[in-house]
Amino acid sequence: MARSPNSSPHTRAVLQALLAAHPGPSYGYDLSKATGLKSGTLYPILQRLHAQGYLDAGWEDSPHPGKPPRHVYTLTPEGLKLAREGSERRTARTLKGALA
Amino acid sequence: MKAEEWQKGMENEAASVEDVEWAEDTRQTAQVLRRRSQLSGLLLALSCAVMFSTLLLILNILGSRVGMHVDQNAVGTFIREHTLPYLASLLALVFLLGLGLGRACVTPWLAALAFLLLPVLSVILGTLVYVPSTVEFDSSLGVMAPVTIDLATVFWNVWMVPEAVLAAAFAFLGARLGQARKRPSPPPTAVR
Repeated sequence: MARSPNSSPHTRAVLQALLAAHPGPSYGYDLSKATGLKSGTLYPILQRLHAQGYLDAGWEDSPHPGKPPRHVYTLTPEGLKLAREGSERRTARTLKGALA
Repeated sequence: MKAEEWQKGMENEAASVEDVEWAEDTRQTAQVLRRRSQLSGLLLALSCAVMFSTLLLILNILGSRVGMHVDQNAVGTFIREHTLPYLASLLALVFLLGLGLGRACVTPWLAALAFLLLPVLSVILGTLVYVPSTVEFDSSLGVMAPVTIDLATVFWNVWMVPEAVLAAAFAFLGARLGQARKRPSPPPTAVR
């Protein structure tokens, strides 16, 4: 059976980490540490979510002199909806499991 | 956001954190993703060039059939009677393919490179395809006996080089425009 898009555990973890920081922006490093994903897994997911319109990516000047600007990521309204839906489904499954 | 901007973002993130191991892993990942993106871009551009080359071969065969009086098909007749509009439409098609490649984040140089290979692709395709046709040639000694020739055969000639350069230039321009028409990325200024 085909899996619905953006339903992999890794993508769900990234969406949840972004949701936890929302409406504030998230950094790649923080997302990596929050999800336990290495850069090779995390960044392709971020690129895909951005290409699909679920994620805004922008630049933020570093407060530390001499440091380059950093990429920051925020959920778009569609991304927020997707992340919340995933969160609600998980909560419903947990409740169902507890009641069974 | 282009692949280069993602790579820059990853490199900057690696330069911004104290975690040396994570930074090194991220730098390596940025390079791998960039190479992967270039490779997929090249494959996409080559696929477009192969499709264009196939179309060109079909059109050449149709034109040759009319030229050698095998038949009077409409496409071949148009090609022979309206050569300039035909050539202009081919260049327009190359431009449109370049536009699509640019929108698909293929760099203009890769798009141009793929179309520079058109002569090679044409010769390879011509070798792989066999389209026999029996034709009669007029000569000063009268009508010669019918001979069977392969209309798909493409021979190297010096005109292939400027044609390929022209096609590459149109693909390059199309890809440049395609990249420019993509959603603009936010400038690297503060998000507070």
